Amino acid sequence: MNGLAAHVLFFLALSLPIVVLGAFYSHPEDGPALRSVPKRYTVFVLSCALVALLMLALEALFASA
Amino acid sequence: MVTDLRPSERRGEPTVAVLVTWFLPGAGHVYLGRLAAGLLAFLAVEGLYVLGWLLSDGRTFEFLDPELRGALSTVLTPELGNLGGMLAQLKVVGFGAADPLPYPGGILLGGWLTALSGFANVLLMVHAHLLARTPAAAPRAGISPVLAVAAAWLLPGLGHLLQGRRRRALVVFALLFGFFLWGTWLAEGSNLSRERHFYYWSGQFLLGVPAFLAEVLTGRPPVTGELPRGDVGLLFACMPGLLNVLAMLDVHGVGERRWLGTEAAA
Repeated sequence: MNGLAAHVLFFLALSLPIVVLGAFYSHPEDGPALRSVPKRYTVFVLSCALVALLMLALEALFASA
Repeated sequence: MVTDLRPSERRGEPTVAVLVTWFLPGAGHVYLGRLAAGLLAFLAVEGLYVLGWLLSDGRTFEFLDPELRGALSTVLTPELGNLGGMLAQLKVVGFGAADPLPYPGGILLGGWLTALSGFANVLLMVHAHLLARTPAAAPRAGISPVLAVAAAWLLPGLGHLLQGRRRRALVVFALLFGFFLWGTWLAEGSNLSRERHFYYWSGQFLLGVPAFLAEVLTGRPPVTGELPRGDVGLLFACMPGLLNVLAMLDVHGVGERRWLGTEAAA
């Protein structure tokens, strides 16, 4: 499998427990916590993607040889 | 139903009780007027640390690579839970002699015991916090938060299960234990060694018995070749331990509110 694709899949997988445990911490009740997971997951992944893009842009601008 | 505790109803200031316990196990209980309990707690927690120190000759921190050693390099270890013990070890033996020596045979067990002392003191802090907030005639319901947090550390999800939160217990266990196993498989067991991966091991320690059993049962397999997914495996095995802290905080918050009868007001 392509290295980049594999790492994206690993990232998407590991994001799940991070988001679910975060939701559990925020909501003592199971129902609201689990219902908030899809939105939290989307926001988490998109935010991380944004940070990654920003880092790549900064690298291209300031750190490339 | 108690809605919240006024400062005058408390036995003492919870923050002070926690902070003095962090530095000196049992001091919080002495501050709250529980002299005997404080002395017993001191002996138990520091006894664990001293036993671990003796078994390892105080050399556990020598597992750190020389370039990583510094004033704050041990703050990401479980020993931080027993701040006084950790500072004493750093003050007396530091990171060892300049010339490397063979490690004593008991260093791995000793490292587990000093780490366990750190977590035992965290439980003591939880108890001191609860004790400070508990008036003499307060209603007490459900399982003790101290027991629930200890259970949550021992086995991810067990604290939730003891609180009757079964679905959450199942999800927490499946996610954290599953990712730990996945990570250990990806890293081919190379993650199961404090000597090899000092900081990642500290994260795994927070997963309790599964991490301990994995280390004991596999015998810390040696690395004999290239590990194509070694880095990912380390992350996957370490992250569940860190996330178990969130689970323990969840268990603690709900447990303390139930114990004090303040859940409806939360």
